[in-house]
Amino acid sequence: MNYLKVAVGSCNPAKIRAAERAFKKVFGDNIRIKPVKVDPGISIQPLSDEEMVLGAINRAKKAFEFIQPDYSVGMEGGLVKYSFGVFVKGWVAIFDGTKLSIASTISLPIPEFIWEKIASREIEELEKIMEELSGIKGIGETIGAIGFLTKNHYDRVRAFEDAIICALAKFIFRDLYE
Amino acid sequence: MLAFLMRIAILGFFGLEWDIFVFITSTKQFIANGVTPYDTALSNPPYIYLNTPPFIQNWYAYPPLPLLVFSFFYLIYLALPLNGPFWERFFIKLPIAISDLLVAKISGDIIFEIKNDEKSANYIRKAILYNPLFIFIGPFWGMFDSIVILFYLVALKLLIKERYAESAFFYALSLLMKQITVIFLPLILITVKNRKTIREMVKYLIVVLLTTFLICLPFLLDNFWGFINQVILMHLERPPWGYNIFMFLWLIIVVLPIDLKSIIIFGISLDYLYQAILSVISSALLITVLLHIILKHYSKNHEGIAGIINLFHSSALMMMAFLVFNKVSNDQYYLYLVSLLLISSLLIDFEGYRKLANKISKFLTIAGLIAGFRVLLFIPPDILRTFLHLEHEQLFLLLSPMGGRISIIGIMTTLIAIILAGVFYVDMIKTLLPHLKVSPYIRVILRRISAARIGKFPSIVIKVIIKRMTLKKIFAIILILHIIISVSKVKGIHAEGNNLEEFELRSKSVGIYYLWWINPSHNATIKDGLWINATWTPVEGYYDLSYPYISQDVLEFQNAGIDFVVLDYFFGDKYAIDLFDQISREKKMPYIISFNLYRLRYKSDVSLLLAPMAPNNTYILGYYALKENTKFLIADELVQLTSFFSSPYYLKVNNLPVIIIRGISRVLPDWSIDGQVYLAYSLLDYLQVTYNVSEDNVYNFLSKRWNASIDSVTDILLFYPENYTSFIKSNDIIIEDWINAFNYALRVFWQGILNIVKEEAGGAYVILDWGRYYPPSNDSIYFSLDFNSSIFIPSEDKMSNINVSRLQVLTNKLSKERGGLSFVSVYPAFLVNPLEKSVVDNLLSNYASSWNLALSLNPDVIIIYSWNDYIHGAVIEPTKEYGRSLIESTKYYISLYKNN
Repeated sequence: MNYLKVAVGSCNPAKIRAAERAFKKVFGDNIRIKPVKVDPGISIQPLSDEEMVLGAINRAKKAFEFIQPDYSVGMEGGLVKYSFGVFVKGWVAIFDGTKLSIASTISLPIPEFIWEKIASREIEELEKIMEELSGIKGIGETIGAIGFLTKNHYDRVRAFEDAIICALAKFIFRDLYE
Repeated sequence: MLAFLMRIAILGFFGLEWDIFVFITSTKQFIANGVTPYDTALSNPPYIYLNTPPFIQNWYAYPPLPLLVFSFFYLIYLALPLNGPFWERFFIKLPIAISDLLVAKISGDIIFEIKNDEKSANYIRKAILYNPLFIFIGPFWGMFDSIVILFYLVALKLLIKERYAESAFFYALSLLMKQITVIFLPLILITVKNRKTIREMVKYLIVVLLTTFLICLPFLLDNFWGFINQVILMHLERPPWGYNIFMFLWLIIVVLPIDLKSIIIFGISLDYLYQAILSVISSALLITVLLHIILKHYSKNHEGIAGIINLFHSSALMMMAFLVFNKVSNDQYYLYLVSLLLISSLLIDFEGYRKLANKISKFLTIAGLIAGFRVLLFIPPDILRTFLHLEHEQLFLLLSPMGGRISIIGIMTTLIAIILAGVFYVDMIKTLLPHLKVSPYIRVILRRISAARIGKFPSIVIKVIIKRMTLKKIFAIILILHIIISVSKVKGIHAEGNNLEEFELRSKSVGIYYLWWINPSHNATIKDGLWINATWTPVEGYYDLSYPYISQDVLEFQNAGIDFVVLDYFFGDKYAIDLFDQISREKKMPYIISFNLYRLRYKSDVSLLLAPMAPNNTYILGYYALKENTKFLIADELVQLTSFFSSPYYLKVNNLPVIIIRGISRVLPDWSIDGQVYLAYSLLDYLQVTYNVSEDNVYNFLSKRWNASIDSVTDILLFYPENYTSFIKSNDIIIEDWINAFNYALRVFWQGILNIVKEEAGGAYVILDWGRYYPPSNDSIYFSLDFNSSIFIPSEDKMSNINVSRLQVLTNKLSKERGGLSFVSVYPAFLVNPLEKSVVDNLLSNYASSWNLALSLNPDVIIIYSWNDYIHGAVIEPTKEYGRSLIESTKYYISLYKNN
């Protein structure tokens, strides 16, 4: 049986789950997901779209080099401050060895004080604040800030899953994007 | 004085383990029993073989003088009230430290003699005394090349003084220490002939031969073939190695994910072919270039001081050419070049040679220490134990520094070492190339031939040959001759290649389980000691498996009627399989691999990556966490093994390679966040599949089922079982769901691994041995996996608390139901506690019962556990306690089984 090999540039169970579900939805059940621990080459807590995109691309490309799969996926979450507010969101990059596709997750507004604590380096990571607020240890590996702030009507896995499906559009309709 | 004290301080503390073992053991054997290393080599005991790649015989391979020197100093050790391996090492290496000082002194004297310049003489003395390569190779490592250099330099110094007979004597001593100085003989003879007469040259040669012959004679008379094998033949057969022109190619081949052995061209493995081709090319190049340097030396001026300077210069070039083109260029050979370059640089006032010598000394010392992470092998086990409170084995297993073993540290450090060597190597080639121009030396040689009184006809013939010969032609002729010699060898390999057949596992076969004992040390203390908790004693004493042991064992298997070998494999020991594959081809003994998850604990670096986290945040070493990472680490390791499946001696069933996977029930629930989340998601999947619940509705379904508010994975984790015990109790629906989720996840986990292995191997015949059930136990999990046969093999986990007969019957039945071959294992004992006296007393009757049960089940295949599991007393290898009784009764039962 021929499997579609997908490398995920992370060992975070939420991200692995998101990739598995998204690829199964698009390509069917014959998927083999392989998590690969890689260094995204950015700061622990990305604070801009550019940094998140760079992190996602780095993760995808490094994971691809590692096992030469059919596709590799990089996911990077972070915070962004726009003129109209602060948001938590994520970016996804998919790489097939030649072509790269990126897409973002939904964005979710977060309180300004969280941004200030992180931007001032008082706290290193969003996950630490969210663990304190939610009382959930390792929240980044499960529902994430998105799950907590939406009272589980939406969560991190679904956010990345949706973004991966969107990023796959470029590979589903290759001709259109040429 | 300072240089000497530095050396004295190092002597006892360091030494390359293998070489020191060889020197001390051969010296002890010689002094105590009059057994020479040539006798030992011919009797071919297993301990003279490396148990790491390339698995060759690597015993004492020098002329007799080093043995005599070592013996003299070892006798001093014996006469003094000093004891232990530290002092043994100290005295064995003491002559090397002394000779370092003498080399410095003689070099200074030579410079002063020729240049009459005390400043230059002092410079070279210091340059040698504080040279890092001299310190590294001699006092640190324990290689005696500085003694060889000392004798060679004394010979040249005497040549300057025109004391030819004494010079010849010392030159012979250098030859009697190490064969390598033979390359200088033509240069010396040419110099002597041109400074004096042909008669003087012949006299020189006679003194050399006579001295060599007289010292070798007792050894030759004692054991002619042992001597010839070790001193000459073994060196011709050595595989390419070291810092030579092909070193980058070796590295690429090691790093490439291609198994050269499995690529067969015209019936010859590519592995053999490329080595043979490179050996032929390198030797042809070497002979051509050496010949060229000899001819060029012949054309030079040999009179007065200039003649001596030319001799030093040609010797340096000769050594450089040797190191560039010879197929074996060990670290220690560079010591000769460094000495000759330093002396030549002062004699011909050429700064370039001095710079090159210094570069080689620095870079090679660093490279020599780090290549393959060898630095650890320079620290003897007794020092590790005394000063670092570490068992060598522990450190060794932790960092895997063994030369050939693939580890990231090994590859990276070898790569760095080769890059460092590359720095001076390029300089060496650049230095050598200008000297390889043919230039006008042919004319000079022709003129000298005309002047020589050798008769008109021979003179014309020699002139014609020399006129027509170019380096290219010489190279071509030598290359063709080499190829002709090599073809006969290749023919032999080719014939074997054509006879290779694929081995199929058939009904009524008997296999034997073969454990891999690798003692990481050749230190005599460990070698003569006991294996930890060993129950019986092997007839041959405690051993580490190496080529001869395994070969002898395979003959025993064949003699007893055993058809194949099951090789015990655990994480990272691929080279053990490499060695057996080589032996299987020679002895025509097929094999299969048993991937043994019980042995993980010995590989501590992987252990930590795979171990599950207990609720108290400690790791349970030797077990496997049920999570994604573990799955891929196990799958990757199994995929590594598929490279052996293409071996013609790897057993197949219906052309599918057979693999046993042992201990699959050692996968446990994990309390790390990753593990908990993995199981929580598995729970969701399990509920969706089992109760046909949609993804959107699964949280509602679970909320009702558990009578709780469940909106997300984190809510589920609030109900994660508290500990292993709570995984077993199924008194409420929540725990029951977790247990079912675990079973479901375990099935997905193992099926995922099996799918990966089968896909990578292009199909495989999988035999599962699941071991004792861990909580929660559920046979159906394993039964639903996609395997071909199952087997029961005893293990510590299983032997307490289970009904062995039930499992034997069950596994046998399972295989038959699947249409696969049925397997039953037999064993004389399996002692969890080595003092189970009742078992010990009734070993033979236990073994008989085990066979009777197996025969009554009439399986397709019987596997004997084991040949050498000494820790558990599961041994049929001849032992001091039971003699050959178990192997002989094995022979009897096998004939019963095969004859129905």
